[in-house]
Amino acid sequence: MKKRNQLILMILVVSAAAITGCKKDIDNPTPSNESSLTKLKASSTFSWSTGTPVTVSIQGLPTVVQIKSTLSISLKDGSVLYSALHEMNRDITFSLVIPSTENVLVLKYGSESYDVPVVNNNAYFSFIPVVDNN
Amino acid sequence: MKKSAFFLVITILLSYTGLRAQVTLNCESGNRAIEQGNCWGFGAVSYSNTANLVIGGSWSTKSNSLTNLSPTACWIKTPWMLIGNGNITFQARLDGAGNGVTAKGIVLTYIPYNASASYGEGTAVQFYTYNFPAFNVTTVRDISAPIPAAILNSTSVYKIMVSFIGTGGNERAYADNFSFPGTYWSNPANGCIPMVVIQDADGDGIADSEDAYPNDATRAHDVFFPSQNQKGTLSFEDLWPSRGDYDFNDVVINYGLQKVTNAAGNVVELFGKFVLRATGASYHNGFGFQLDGISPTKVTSMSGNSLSAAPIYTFAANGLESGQAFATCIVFDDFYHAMTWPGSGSGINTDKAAPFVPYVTLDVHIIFINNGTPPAGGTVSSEQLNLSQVNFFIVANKDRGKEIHMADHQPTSLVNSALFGTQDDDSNPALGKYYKTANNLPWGLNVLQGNDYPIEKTPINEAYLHFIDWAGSAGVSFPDWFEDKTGYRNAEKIY
Repeated sequence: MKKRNQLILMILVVSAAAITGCKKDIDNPTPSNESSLTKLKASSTFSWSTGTPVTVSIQGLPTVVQIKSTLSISLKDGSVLYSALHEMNRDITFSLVIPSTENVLVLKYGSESYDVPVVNNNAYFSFIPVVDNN
Repeated sequence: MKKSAFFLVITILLSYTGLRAQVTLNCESGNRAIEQGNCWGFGAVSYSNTANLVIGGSWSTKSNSLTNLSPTACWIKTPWMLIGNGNITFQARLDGAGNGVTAKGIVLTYIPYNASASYGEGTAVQFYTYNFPAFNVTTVRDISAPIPAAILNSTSVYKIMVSFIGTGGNERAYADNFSFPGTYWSNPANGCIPMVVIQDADGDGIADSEDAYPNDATRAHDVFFPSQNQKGTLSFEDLWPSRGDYDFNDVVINYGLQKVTNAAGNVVELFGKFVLRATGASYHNGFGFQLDGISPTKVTSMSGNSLSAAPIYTFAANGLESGQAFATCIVFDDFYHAMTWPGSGSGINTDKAAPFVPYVTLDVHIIFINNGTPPAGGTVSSEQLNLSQVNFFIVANKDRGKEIHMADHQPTSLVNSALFGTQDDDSNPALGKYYKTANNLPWGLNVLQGNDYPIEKTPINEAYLHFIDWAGSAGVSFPDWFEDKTGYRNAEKIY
């Protein structure tokens, strides 16, 4: 019985030491190079995210008849960020946040697919094709 | 629910049949590209608004100089049409003095659809020729050509090609006010091939080929954030309103969101996958998110979270936190309940000397519309639930009012607002400034591409050598600071 109590006591002591050991030393933050971060003055508009806000603007095509199809916006890897039924003659603008390392979006409408570059946080696409008027 | 529906085609037929007995071209858009977008074709033919040569309105078509007798030199092609009955009519004129001209004319052909041919265009069949009677006048000529019997009221689709031909001189042809008996039958959203019967098994108005749930009329589209294939990483400091040690490992979670919408564009459900990776804290922190602007009454139910035996939170019948103005989901109330301390080392998975604890994944499921039935509060549109604006936060050490959000994200209704502006916090709700120091340093980071985190008590800039470059430039420099590239990180200081 005495041996059993000693064993329990030992377990409690070891456990207490271990739990204490997991606590962060809040009162003594590590100085080292931390100062260079704490002295940093960041922009008041910085989001502290690696996402880039993008305004997607799509110009509609005045169509002869009503054309409705799924409009989707994806990353190059196929990840869909926007998907909704869309009338082709409608202009639409919406906001997305994309990984800052991406600079091209893929727009799909019906069977058509287009690469849309992101320039200065804007991605613009028109359903009206570009033609040489000569 | 399954039915063989042809909703789209019926819609198209109703739109076309009877209402579009003529396919016309009057050029008054002034922009040939609009017509090309609507599947018209132009070869060496443009639009002109030259005042003394325009035939009707402000714009007409203008060909290049007619120096070729081939019908494929200067031409206009209609979209695919179901040909009707009657005459093709339009007006045309020449523009020059007629010097050296030997012939100027117009040729009409029809083009059958051949799916295996280029642009679907089968062999063209010429059926009408017009010769200008004089070359030195700009008289407007009225052209009228009957639809040939071979394609009259056919159930097959055709294009009509109007070609301008000639030899000698350099006159051009102007033309306008085209009218073709028939029904428009091209699909600008489908490469301008002819309209076809669209399969829509669940009858929700979304073609099966574009429907993420082709056999479920209550669901149509998926949207992901930050992406379908890559989870983002959220990392927090938990000593707010004190700034802490900036190792950004007090709570480390990977996350991925999936929004499901129906054909009407309303949110059906939201899936959140949260992978608990590490806590470098002694605090028993909780984690959740708020859907800013969305009333809790618009949520039917929420499930999949992890709660300890005695949570400090109270919950409504739909599983959301009670007392909130906006829908608030508590994903877990205690990191040390959801994930078990390994028995040694500081925290969980922040001390390389301690045993690694396998990550824990929580799959949270929020139902907005249940089997087609919205809750009493009504529906949420896809635009109202922007996944990139989901407002993540931690609750420090079971002190409900001490919630810590990403920079400039508003708190929930249950924050202890008396903490704003105290210690290192410089929040100013009136200015929309939240959870930032006077130097605009945050208590949370959101790396959309996912990242590794520093070991315990290592400021993140010591682990990631371009972190300060990135932060100091507001994200412009080294946007890839978190990647494993040469010179980018100190591997010894990363867990």
